[in-house]
Amino acid sequence: MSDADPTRAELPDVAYAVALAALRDMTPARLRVLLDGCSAREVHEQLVGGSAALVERLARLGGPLPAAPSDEPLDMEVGWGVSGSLGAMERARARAKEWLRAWRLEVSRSSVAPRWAALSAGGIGVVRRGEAAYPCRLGRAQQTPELLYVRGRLDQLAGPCVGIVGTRRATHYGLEVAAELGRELSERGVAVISGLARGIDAAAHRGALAATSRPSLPLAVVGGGVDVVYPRENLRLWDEVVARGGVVSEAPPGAPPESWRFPLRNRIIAALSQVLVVVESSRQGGAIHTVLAADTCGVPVLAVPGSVRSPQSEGTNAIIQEGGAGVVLDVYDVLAELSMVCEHDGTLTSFSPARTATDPRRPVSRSWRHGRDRRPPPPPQAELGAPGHRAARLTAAASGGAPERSAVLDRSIALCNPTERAVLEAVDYTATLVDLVCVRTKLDLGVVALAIDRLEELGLIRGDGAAWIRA
Amino acid sequence: MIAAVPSATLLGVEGRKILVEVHVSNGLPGFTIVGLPDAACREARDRVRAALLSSGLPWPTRRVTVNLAPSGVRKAGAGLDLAIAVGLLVASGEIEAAAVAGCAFVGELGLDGTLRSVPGVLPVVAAVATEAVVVPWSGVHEARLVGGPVVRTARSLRELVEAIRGRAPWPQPPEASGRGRRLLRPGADPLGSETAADLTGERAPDLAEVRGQVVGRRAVEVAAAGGHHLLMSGPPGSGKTMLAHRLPGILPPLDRAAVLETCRVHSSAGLPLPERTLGGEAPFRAPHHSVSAVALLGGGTAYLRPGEISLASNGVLFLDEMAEFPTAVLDALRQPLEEGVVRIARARATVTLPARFLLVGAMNPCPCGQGGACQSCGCSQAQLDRYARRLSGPLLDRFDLHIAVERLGTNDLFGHEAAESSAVVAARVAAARAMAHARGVTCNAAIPAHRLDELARLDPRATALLRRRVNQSTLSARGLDRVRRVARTLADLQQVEGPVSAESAATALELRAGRRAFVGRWVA
Repeated sequence: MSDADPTRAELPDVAYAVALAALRDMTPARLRVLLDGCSAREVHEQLVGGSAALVERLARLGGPLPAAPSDEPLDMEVGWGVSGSLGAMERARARAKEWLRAWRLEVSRSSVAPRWAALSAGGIGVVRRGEAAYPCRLGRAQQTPELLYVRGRLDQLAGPCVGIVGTRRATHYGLEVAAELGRELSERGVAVISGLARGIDAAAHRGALAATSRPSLPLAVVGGGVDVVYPRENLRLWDEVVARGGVVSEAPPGAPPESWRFPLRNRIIAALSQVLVVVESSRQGGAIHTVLAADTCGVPVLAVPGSVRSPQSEGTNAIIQEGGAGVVLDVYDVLAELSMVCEHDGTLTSFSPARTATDPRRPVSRSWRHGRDRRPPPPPQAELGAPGHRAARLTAAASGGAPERSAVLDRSIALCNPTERAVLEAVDYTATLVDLVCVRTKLDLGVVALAIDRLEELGLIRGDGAAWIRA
Repeated sequence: MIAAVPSATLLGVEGRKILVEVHVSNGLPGFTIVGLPDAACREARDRVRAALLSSGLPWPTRRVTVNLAPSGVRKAGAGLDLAIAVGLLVASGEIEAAAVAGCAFVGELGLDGTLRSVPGVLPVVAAVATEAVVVPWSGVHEARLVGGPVVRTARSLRELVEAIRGRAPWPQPPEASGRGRRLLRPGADPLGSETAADLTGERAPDLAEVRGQVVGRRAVEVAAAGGHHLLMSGPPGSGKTMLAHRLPGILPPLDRAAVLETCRVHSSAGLPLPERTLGGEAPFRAPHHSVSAVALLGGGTAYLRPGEISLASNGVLFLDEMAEFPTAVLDALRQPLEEGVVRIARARATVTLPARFLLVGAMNPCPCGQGGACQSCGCSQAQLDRYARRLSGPLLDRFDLHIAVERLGTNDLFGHEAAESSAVVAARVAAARAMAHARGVTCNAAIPAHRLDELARLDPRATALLRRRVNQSTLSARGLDRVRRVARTLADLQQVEGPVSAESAATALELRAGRRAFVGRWVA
């Protein structure tokens, strides 16, 4: 603890920040408050010594900070700043003292140096806010992350970057579109940022890695520690992303992928992206959190439209309808938006946002010549300006009207065996041929045919000419 | 002097034995052919005269009467030229009658005395039933297929006369390539064990090249195994033709009788022997949609030439762009499809031609071709209805299998492990056909309705599955029978002898799903 310790004197300040971040119950918000403008080493010493200043700082968090961490998006907004009665303030102080007591015990038991050594040994880099390597775009995020752990590299952020997000329970349509966009963007030298979650995230990364001509480097922002592979099924993909690009996280290494971490992760994806593309999302899905975060950072949002019957496209269709998101019909829509952002902030690009002669799209109307003009006019500024406006609308729409039909369908789905469920998932909300179902499920035609008969009996799908369609 | 020389003419795919009687007598020089010769036959007089003179043989300046017996039967074509010439030479004493006894003559004569080929050498030689037969140079292969008479040939009348007189040996026909070589080897079985690939050096197109088309691949397999007619609808470039062309490669090899029959039809139509069929491969005929009813079914004025359906007998008749065929032509297929033969009746004759073919139809989903099961196009509903009506209901009913084929995305074309090859599928098909034969039917498509309960019994789950469809009115009574036959074939392909499972029944329904898009909305 004393300055006489020779090893400790050589440790950089960030090593102390890493040690603090690794404490139990240390959330990114608490870490940020603790380190607010101070050197981590000082804070570390204050913590060991016990300091009233720290109590005051932590108490400022006040309010319903996640003592039992919640994944509410409000985590980022509400409780930021003191509100409420004197009693509430007192309670906040008492809680802060409790944390500090627990942390003091923990700090005195562990030391900084081994943890720091273990990080570098594990190939994990750390970037602290204010350092040159810290991605400057992250500054616009709410609650700018204090520390960023990196496996792989971060320099792809200097070039054009597009975030691709979406639901984890994606349909085949969504997965295919995400993979296609990921590949086509990557082939044009655009870095694809996503979350390595199930569904759309993984598909986007798979697509990006499948790019053949001069692929860009992918970047994944994950919820847990950068060394905690979650979901396990993405292990190989994860390793490939680390090898070819980078995986970053705000959570200290070893942090489990707790559910409250994911909305926080989403704000990082939103802030790092120059353009955010939502491929499929339900009305209240995690991808909507990312959209809200992108709104607050001023990142343009594009959405891939889907069937109006598909629950997985409800969210994306809704944000398009509200005028808050441009429509992605193909990769050129993304490139057009991206080139404008890049021009604005001076990012060097090598792609051409113009459609090639081999891939023309004729305008439907003469008056709408260019991609942007296809958009409806944005809603009045006053309406957009209100924070949480989009969240409120989405939530209101979701709660209105009892979804009786979907409850019936859910009951039917509960009657299905795993094979039938797999077949059901392979049937789109648009007409799907049995060939495609077989290719997607890798099941024999006979098994698929039997499952289809059962699903039709349950009313989950119906025949549409020679094809099948989700009810 | 009188001479009688056996020969034969062609009617349909059968030869008819004709005795050419030549009478040379004193009287006013002249040449008469009697016995109902048609125009080509009557013109034999001038051809024979010129041929004899060009060959340095004398033309008798006496009265010559040629009778074609039996006199009541119409004789067509120039195939009797040679027999008339030989009869004339015998009757005028140029050749001894004993030298040509027991020998039949078939062939047309050129003015310079060359022997020319005629259509139908194979059936004609089969009909003459003599010890020896002389056929034109190029007809030797066909004549040897018959296996009966000693086959002799010559290039010209002069060569022939020299050989008959014993002054020169019979000329040896030329070495031919492929199958012909073996056919000409004395004593060799004309139908050996060589496959089509051995004979032609060309592999049949392989089913392994068809990627992603799960339903399409299964449909051709079922069609081959059960003899079920198949209709495919899908946009251009979706692989319909590709699938159809792979059918001969998976159909079971033809037996000896079937090969002979197919060769006989080809010979009768004046076509060269189908080399691939000589190797046991099923014939494949794909007439253009401008085909006339006569060209498709057979007929014509002269000798009732067999049509495309007979040429495809024992094999596949592929009608691409089926909706473009004239409706009347398509509807004419109904009777042959039902009976396996086509009866051509004309005022003078009625012939029965073989027509046991597997019908494979391909058509676009709509007039513009861009629509389909998964996307819509600019065609109006009225246009679509009109298009669907081009195939009449009764004809549509003949198709046990009706599938929709779609263009696949690039994702499906790449990155899949190679599909099963034709050889693997063909083995399954052969085993399934053997099971059907053991049950006493030629193929499952031919199971009569009254034997369905016995031969295509359903297990309880399959019964429940199909009963539900019938109760929903999404499956008609006739459709039910067809589904049961297809389900039987599917079970046979899995070597399941017992009752048909629900899985097979459901698959059979899927293999008919194309019909839903076609006939009303729902009735399969």
